[in-house]
Amino acid sequence: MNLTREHASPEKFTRYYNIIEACGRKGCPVCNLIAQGVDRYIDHLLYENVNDPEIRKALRSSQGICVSHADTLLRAGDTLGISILYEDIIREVQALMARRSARALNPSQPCPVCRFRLSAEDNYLNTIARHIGERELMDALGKSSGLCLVHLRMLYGRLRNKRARRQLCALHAEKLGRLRAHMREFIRKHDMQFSNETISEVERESCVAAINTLVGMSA
Amino acid sequence: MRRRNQHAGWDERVIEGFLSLLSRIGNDPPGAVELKRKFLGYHDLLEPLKHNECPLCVIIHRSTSHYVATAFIEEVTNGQFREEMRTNLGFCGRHSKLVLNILPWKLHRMGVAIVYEDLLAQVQVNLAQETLDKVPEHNNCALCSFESELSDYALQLIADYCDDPEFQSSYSRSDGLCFPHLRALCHRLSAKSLTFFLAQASRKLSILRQHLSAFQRKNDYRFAHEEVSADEAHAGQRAVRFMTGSS
Repeated sequence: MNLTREHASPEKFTRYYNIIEACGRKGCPVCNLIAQGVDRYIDHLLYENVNDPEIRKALRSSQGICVSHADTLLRAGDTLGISILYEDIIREVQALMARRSARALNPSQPCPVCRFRLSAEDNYLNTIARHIGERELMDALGKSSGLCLVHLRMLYGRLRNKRARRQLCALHAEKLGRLRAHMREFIRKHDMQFSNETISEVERESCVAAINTLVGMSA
Repeated sequence: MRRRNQHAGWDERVIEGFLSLLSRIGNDPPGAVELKRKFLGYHDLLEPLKHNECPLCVIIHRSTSHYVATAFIEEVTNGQFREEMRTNLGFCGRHSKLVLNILPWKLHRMGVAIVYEDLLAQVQVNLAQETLDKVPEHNNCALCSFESELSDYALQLIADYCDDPEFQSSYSRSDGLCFPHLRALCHRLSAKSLTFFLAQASRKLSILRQHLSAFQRKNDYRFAHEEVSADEAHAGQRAVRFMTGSS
């Protein structure tokens, strides 16, 4: 019995297979993976790193988490972790207020979750760029909802191979064509002459899909 | 420069002229015109303070939501609006969430579908021609510009009225501004007003820290029998919202 995976390239590791798996879910695979990563990062922060001095220092410098990630933090549900972290941050802010200077109130570091998000995004896009053109990945991208425009642009900028660029554009042009067809059907069925026709699930979701395609889900 | 209260649609010079006329007719005592300059915009700032909300966050959220809701009903066939949407490829990621919020309403869904189908058509053409660099970025989101002007106007209004006894009394009783808006306001204040706002914020933060400490203490098994009050239970959420704001 031959147990070796002859078809597996040595550099294909977890991140690659995460991308393949994410292509099977609705929405941009990179956006989905980033959202998952951010959820895990915040969980880890609240359950493992609340008493880590470096993390606490970073949070004091950034004045906590930014508004984009605040909802994710609050949804994590660990009220004790949040209260420990923010009691520390607020104490620091009060010390800054005591200086009675508007300039002293600015944060000195970016949001740590944003920093993590940028790093994860970079890693996923590099992984896709490295394997673009390979059959397994192209098949997976073909079956997926496609990348959002934000990530498509970033990926396109990383590709040097003209054929890969052409394939990527053609794939996404086709997906946009299908999405537009669903939207046109959605619009048509709102006309009173066709109001007896049932609007399908995919037509009903087409507006959300259009917005997510243009701006991504991980903003 | 004529300034427009974008929320109420009132022009400040018109209001000044009107109030000046009223005072001449009614023989008002000195200072009455000044008091009457507290128009709708001023009261829009006071109202959220009564509910312990940041007035700027409330005004911005209400105005931008209204902008989006109106645009996708009334402006869908307006050439200028459609051109603006094409030029900026819709709204930025943050403001696109406001568009998602109006989708439950049928009329709005139609408007969104019509506008966004048009935007996708534009992107599809660029993809077919492999001219992704010609697809617009979201750098000039119309809502970002609108929000920036509104924020600027509201901050200046607070700076103008911050020495008013009625405003100071309402502000002292409330939770005040969120930290990002407080920070933005501080750059516009005199030293005396800066002291007032920072002292108020510091006082409220001391109370918030007491609630946070009490919550942590009561999560210790030795004090688990002590009841956690509503203020203590929600202190973490209030702390996060104070530091980030909600707009």
